Amino acid sequence: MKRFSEQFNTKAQSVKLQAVERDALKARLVSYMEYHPMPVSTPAPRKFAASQPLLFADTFKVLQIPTVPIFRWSAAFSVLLLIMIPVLAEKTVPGDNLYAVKVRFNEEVRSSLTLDQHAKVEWETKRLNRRIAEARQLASEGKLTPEVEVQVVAAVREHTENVQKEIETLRVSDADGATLASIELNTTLELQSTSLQEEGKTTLAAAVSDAQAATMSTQLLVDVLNETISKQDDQPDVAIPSYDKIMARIEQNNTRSHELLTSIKFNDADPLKSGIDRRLQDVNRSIEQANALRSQDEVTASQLLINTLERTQKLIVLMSDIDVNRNVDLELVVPIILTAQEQDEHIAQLNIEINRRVEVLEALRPQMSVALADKVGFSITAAKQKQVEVQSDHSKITNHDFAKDTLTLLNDALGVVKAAGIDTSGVVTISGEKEGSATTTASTTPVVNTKEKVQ
Amino acid sequence: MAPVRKTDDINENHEARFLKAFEEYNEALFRHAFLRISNREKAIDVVHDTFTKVWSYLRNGYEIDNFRPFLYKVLNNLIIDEYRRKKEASLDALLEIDGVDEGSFSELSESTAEALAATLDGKKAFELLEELPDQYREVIILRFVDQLGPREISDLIEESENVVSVRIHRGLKMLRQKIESKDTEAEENRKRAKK
Repeated sequence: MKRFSEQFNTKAQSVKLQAVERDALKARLVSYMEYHPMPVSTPAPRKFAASQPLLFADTFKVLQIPTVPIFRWSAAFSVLLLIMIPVLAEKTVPGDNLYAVKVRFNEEVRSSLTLDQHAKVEWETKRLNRRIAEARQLASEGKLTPEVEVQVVAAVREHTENVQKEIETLRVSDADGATLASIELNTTLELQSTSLQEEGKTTLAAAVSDAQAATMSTQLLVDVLNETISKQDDQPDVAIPSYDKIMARIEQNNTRSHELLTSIKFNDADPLKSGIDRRLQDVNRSIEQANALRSQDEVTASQLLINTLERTQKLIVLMSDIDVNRNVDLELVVPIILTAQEQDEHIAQLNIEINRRVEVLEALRPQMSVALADKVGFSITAAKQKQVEVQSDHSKITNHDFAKDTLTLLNDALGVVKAAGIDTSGVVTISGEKEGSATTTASTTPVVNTKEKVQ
Repeated sequence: MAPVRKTDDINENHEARFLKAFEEYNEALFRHAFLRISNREKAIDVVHDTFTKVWSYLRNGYEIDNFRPFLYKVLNNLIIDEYRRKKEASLDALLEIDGVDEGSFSELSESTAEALAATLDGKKAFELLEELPDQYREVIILRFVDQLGPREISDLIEESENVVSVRIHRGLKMLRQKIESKDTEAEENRKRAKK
């Protein structure tokens, strides 16, 4: 290659302009340059391969429209419009500027994107919850004016109707699913109503003036919820859904509630976390119980499962708006279900209390008038009889109730004795414990929670 | 803002750069033109026209960063014009024949072109250059006389690099064939003379 190109090139180099020719060429060029000199006022230097000079530059003014920046800005703006605003709107409450975006855009879009009938029911229920949660947040901040409350109530009505409509549509294709959805709706409504009432009491007590009380009251909302619940209850009973369907639903709810629980950031040793944990354990136990019961009595097992489903549903609703629900009394909404062992312990504890009271009453009997002694004697006999019944029967649940009844009976008797003016100083320790007795028994249960009082 | 320079200064600067480019490239441009059109007078005219065109371009206020490719481009266009004027029909036919040929793998590789070139006698090849069709002559001159890279050639003649490689390869092949046929002819002539 080298040889070739060298040879080739040397040969080519022999082609040359003669000096005369070059000089003549240069002279021609220079004279051409002199005849065509550079214009005196050079226009601003243009770049190689720039666009053609404008022919009509003087007649028409050319407006340069900066399309690229305009496009960029409008793109940025639409990103803002389509993403930022809906995200910001999610946190709003009635009365905020972006609230309409939340309700009329975000939620409607989600509604129209939801095609599955089950999901539709779920979403409408969720919307209902969202409205109530907003109202509660406003009420807790004292911003729930009557006008806003009316709006919320209207929205709640609308969503409830929607859910019911969706449930009816669902019933055509999946009757069991519809029944389950309806159960879930009722539970949700009940839970919201209870917690609203509960909250109403405490906030109203804290309100300083009537005006403030008016902005904190959620009575109207409670009324609507109760009305809806009673309407739902009026509906004719439908067949209990199949066991497997309820089970599937519970599994779903169970997973969801565990997810929710892990997603919520609790402080260490938050009583609410341990409380919810305990309820979830209860749910698992109930499922096992129902499974065991199924072979003997499927209807009871199904009912137990429905009850469990209600509990999981309540927990989910509770956890979905944990900030709003932080002050709700967990025990009131979802009571603890005692384990068999706990029940045994509890009954034993109650028995001790009963025996002590019986002893005291027996000791005081000589001081009593005949009529009173008779009455007390009657109470003692009844109590003893009940104790015997408790020992012979092995149904844990009834035992528990029985023991509690007995204790109340004896406490009443003690009250009567006291009222008759008899010195009960010997039993001061007991009567002092009278109110706290329940707490002491509860404290034997593994869950130590000062907020939860076993009634 | 840049300091305001007097127009005269700028113009002088333009003139100086232009004349420098003339000194630098007139020889090479002439050689290229002469090899392409094989006519001394016409080649000088074409070089002259090239420079006057570039000068007009500068007068219109454009700036040229690098003179060499620009000069070659203008020269090439003028040579094509010259061909058109001279043998219109034949050139058009010539341009149509080639089209875009993908070329075989070996034709696309620079190294095989080198290997092929190594078998050629440069002096003989140069003599026979004139006999090649212009599209092959063009690339061979650009490659071996003006020493441009395939990339620069492809920019200049507005063909893809592949087409350029293929043309160089084929051009060299044609040259070899011609050399070989010349050699055999000379051999036969000698034999005849002996007899």
